[in-house]
Amino acid sequence: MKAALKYQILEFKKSTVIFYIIVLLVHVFFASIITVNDTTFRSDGGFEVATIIYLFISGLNSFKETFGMFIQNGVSRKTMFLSRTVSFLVISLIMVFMNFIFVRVLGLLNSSRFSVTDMYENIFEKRVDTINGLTRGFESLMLSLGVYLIAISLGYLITVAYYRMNKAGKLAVSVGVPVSVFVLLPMIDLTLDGRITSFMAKILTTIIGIRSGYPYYMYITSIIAFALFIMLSWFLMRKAVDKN
Amino acid sequence: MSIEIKNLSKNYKSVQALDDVSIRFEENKIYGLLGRNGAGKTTLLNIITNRIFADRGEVFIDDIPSKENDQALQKVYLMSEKNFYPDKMKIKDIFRWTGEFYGKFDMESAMNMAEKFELSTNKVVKGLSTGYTSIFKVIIALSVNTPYVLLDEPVLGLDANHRDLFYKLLIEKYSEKPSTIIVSTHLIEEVSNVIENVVVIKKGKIIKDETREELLTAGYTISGSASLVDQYILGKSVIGLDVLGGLKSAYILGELEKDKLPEGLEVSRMDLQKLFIQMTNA
Repeated sequence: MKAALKYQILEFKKSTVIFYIIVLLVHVFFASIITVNDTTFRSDGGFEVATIIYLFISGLNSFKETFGMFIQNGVSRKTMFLSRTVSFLVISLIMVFMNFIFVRVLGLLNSSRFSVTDMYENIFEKRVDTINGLTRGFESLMLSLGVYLIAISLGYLITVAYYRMNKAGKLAVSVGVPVSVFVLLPMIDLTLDGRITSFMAKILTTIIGIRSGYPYYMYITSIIAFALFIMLSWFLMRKAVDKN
Repeated sequence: MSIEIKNLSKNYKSVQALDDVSIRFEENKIYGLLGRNGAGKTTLLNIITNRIFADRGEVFIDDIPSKENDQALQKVYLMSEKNFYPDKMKIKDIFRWTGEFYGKFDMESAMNMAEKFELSTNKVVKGLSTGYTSIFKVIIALSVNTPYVLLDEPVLGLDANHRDLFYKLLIEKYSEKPSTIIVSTHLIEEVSNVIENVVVIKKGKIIKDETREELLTAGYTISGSASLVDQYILGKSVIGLDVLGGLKSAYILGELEKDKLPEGLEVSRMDLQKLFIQMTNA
């Protein structure tokens, strides 16, 4: 378990360093530009959004190669899965704290023309003024952690599911999902005067906590979603075999 | 201390790869796992190492069920034909990680072997030829120091010099630190001098599990002028013939009656490859 965990955590090392170099360079670049040009730069939760995309892609790349390496090295699927889950928690926690620090450091430069804020502040704008700094910091960290875990575990679930599917299954999902979401659903929604989208928006804003203004809804949603994605991943990978 | 396989069966759709296989691989012996293409050799090795699952039956490694069991799986290393290591990983990093997973991996020995094979450990897996891909995996197998080492077509793509070096290192390693080694190969003639026990698998069934000596004493080879050989083999169980000019060699199953051997004929040991062909044909 120790070696498997070490391997899976270190897998993220290089790409995470590159990610931070790029994101920081982008911020530094824009901070420099506004000093010479009459322009503005706003990053409202941009750090976290970039992290969510990065973690989702990392999740997508977290199965096939590692699975091969581990079956070659006598690691059971159970250990692969447990160490993978722990590695997701570790990498998400590391990025939560890194982002927390970076956003606050860059926030010191905030002015009328340059602004870097976090995701929490943008979603729960009204709540920020009603709580103390410590509670705000804690809630912000928890919100980021929950969203990051959802992103990475969803990516992982998708890649494990694709690995287990045969060619016909992959084709059906690859075509069926986009067609359903981007063609069929809007068409049906149109015939129902937008009732589907307004219902979905209502559900989404409720489970995220936007409607109530409380982030706790999002914590519960994150826990449920992460647990669900991880459990489904285990269900799919426990019988995974070399397919080549 | 052994790998014990009990009533193992595996089907791939309508193809029965293994059919109720039961066998025991004992401690510190070198086995040759011989069989034609598609006989079930790789399937058997893959099930032992938990890479695929059997439909029925069980595998025990030192009395521990191997299925999804880290403790049992850490006692076995399978060098397979297919590469499972990350394509972009350097060989030296693969050695290092093997050391993390298998605590007894001997890095010094691996680096020495790499030098002998002239393998650059700074190269990535993807950058290696077929022969060198086999070589780096062979080096790991010979340095991993697990009680059971399984080699599936270990000399695939290796030239004659490297094959010779591999067999030499295998014997050296076995003499220094004995372990159970199972070599699955098509190159029977080459491996016949290395193995102590022969397991022959045919259409998913074990048809022979004997020592090499037992198997080779099941018959003999007779050589001489073609006419003499033809006369001698009448009524005998001949499993193969080789003709070179006026000389002929016949591979015969059964016990040699020395007193009935005509002059001008020479007797030698049975040929393992000929015996294998006879056993696995049809």
